[in-house]
Amino acid sequence: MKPNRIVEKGHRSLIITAYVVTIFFVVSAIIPVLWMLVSSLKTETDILAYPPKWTPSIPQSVQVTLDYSGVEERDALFYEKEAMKATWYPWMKNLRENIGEVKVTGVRDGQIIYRARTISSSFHVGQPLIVPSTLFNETQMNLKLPFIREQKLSDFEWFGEDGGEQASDGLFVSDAAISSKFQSFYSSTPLVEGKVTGIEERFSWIRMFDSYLALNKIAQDASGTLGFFQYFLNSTIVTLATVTIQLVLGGIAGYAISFLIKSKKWQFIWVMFFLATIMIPGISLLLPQYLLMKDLGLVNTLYAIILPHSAWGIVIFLFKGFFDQLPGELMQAARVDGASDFRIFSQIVVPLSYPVFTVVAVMTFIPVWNEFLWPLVVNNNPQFWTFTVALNDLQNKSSVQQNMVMASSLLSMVPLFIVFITSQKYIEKGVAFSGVKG
Amino acid sequence: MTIKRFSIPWMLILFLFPSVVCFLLFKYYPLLHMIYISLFDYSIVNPPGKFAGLTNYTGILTSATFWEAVSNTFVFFVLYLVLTFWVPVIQALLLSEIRKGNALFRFLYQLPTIMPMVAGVLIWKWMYNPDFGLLNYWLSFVGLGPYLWLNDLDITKLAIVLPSLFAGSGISLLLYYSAIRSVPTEILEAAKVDGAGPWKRMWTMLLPNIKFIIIIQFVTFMSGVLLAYDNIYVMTQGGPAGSTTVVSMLIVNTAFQQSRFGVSAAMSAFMFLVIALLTIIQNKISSVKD
Repeated sequence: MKPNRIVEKGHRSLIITAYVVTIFFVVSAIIPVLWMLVSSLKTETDILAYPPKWTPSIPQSVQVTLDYSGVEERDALFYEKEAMKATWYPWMKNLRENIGEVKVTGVRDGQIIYRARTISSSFHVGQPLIVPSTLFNETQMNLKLPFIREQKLSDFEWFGEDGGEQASDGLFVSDAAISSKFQSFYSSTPLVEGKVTGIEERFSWIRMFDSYLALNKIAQDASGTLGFFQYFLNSTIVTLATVTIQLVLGGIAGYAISFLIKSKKWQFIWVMFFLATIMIPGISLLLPQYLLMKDLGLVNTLYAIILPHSAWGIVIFLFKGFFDQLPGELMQAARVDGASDFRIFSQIVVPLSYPVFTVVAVMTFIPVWNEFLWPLVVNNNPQFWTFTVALNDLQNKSSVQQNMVMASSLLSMVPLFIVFITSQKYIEKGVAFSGVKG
Repeated sequence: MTIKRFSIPWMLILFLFPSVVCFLLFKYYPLLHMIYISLFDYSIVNPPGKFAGLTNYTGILTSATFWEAVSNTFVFFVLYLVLTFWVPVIQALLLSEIRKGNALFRFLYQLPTIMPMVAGVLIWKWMYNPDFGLLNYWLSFVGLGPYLWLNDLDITKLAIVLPSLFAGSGISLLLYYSAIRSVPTEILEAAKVDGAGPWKRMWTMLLPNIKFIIIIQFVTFMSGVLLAYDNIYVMTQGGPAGSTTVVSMLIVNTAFQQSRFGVSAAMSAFMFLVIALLTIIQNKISSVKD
């Protein structure tokens, strides 16, 4: 390109317009995605800040030391309750503070006798049950302790009265915001027997990811031990099974129409038999397909989500169209040599048709991963929910904050993002080649 | 001795059989079943229930809810048409003028397409939050709002359509773009020699050349709007006061909330007819071009 070629009149204005408009649309599309990312890293406090903030603040880790020197010796249960009271009550009182975790250390005569740690995801998941109100007393904690233990909301480690390690010296009560609030709580509410000798706070950026942990804890309640990964797994099974079924069934049906039927008329009739089904909108078949799954006893299974996907007219059409372009002589030669149809298909047709298989796989993956209505209708057991259904359920839960919803939305993008990055050129090829919306 | 043996084409049967079974079971049988259900006052406990003839069909034609859903769908259609349909055309035309960073822009344009629609809607729903949302905050700078985006009868439909303006163009953009790239450069050069400037070339050469794709996409767009469900359901569940309940949503609600299966099936049949008609039109247009 010559550096000082003559610029056509109007060329510059067009280029400038092109860049301005393109950048405007690209940026407008990306802002929501960035906002999702930022929101997913926010704490419960930040998410409800007004004006909205673009930088999530880093949560504080609060470390409380309780000294039991001179207090009569008790059993582990007593200390566990102490630690829980010293954690859950002041935290509930200061619900609006940006607390990432609370650590309580029990000390007697310079020796550590217990350690307890509660992270914010556990606190926010457990809070409606453990500390529903700011009514704090002894009996409350007696009632709630079993729940804390059962759901593993707080870690508690007891070293015995002889103590474990040496406690660190130089403890002090910090006058930072959260520490002084904790201090005033302990001094005004005589619930904890140990003497508060130290409260410190420091930044703990790792606790920014607690919305993801909280999400998993909530999902565990609904879908079992795998938590959020269960939904992930379900979506993966559904999508991969669908892609496999379509490649195999569509591939062999396309082969049959293209090579095993000689008459053009019959080829057309078979193609129409399959292709005509694209006229039937999914929404019209929702009720009869549901009744069918009910008759087959497949409601509330993953099969119910997968099986209807085995009949996509467009897939067979794409395969047939591609196979028609393959050189017929090759097939003929193989047949003369006595190769069976299985061998011709698997050793000649499949290797030559790599592009169409990839295009079908990618064009199937995306809509099936994103599918919402059919899995919603045919499954009401959380164990078999796919990602999209779980996402929708999450947003309707009152205990779930937007940071968790955004975290889950972000997670739902990850597999598609990987598929997209690795196969963008096939998507472009697929679009050019079929002109059909996925 | 030449006896033409008639052999059963086992291979053909073996290769076609699975697909034929799947299509019959999951497409054709449900379609017939739907029409069958629509003729009954269908009872799921004791199927098929009382024969109703065509009363389900005549019933929906006189039902106010149905016509409200039809009118909602129509308003959505107009909104999508005005706000979103033309956007990828412009984007593709301008993108084809860009040399530097073209691949990057194409990649970024498609990025929102890979977000599950449910997730995309949830982000926008969060931005629409009347108290803590980003949009009301921004609008407050120019003295607008605050708006109750998803609870205000006047703007809820707009709030549902708006995300598609920014994130809905991925695939159609690619289609237009590849169509523009396939316009032969000779005719562009010829126009240039004849003195047509770049803007004029864009409007008089490129645009008419992709007119055909635009028409096809328009038919696809119409069925897309008619069948829109997910984004509306996640955003508003058809509210407030039924103002965003479209026909597809009415079909689902009638069947799965009110258990009026016959009526739902009759509406499904109606939907099927409309979509089938649109598909046939689309195929007719395609074959004219070929």
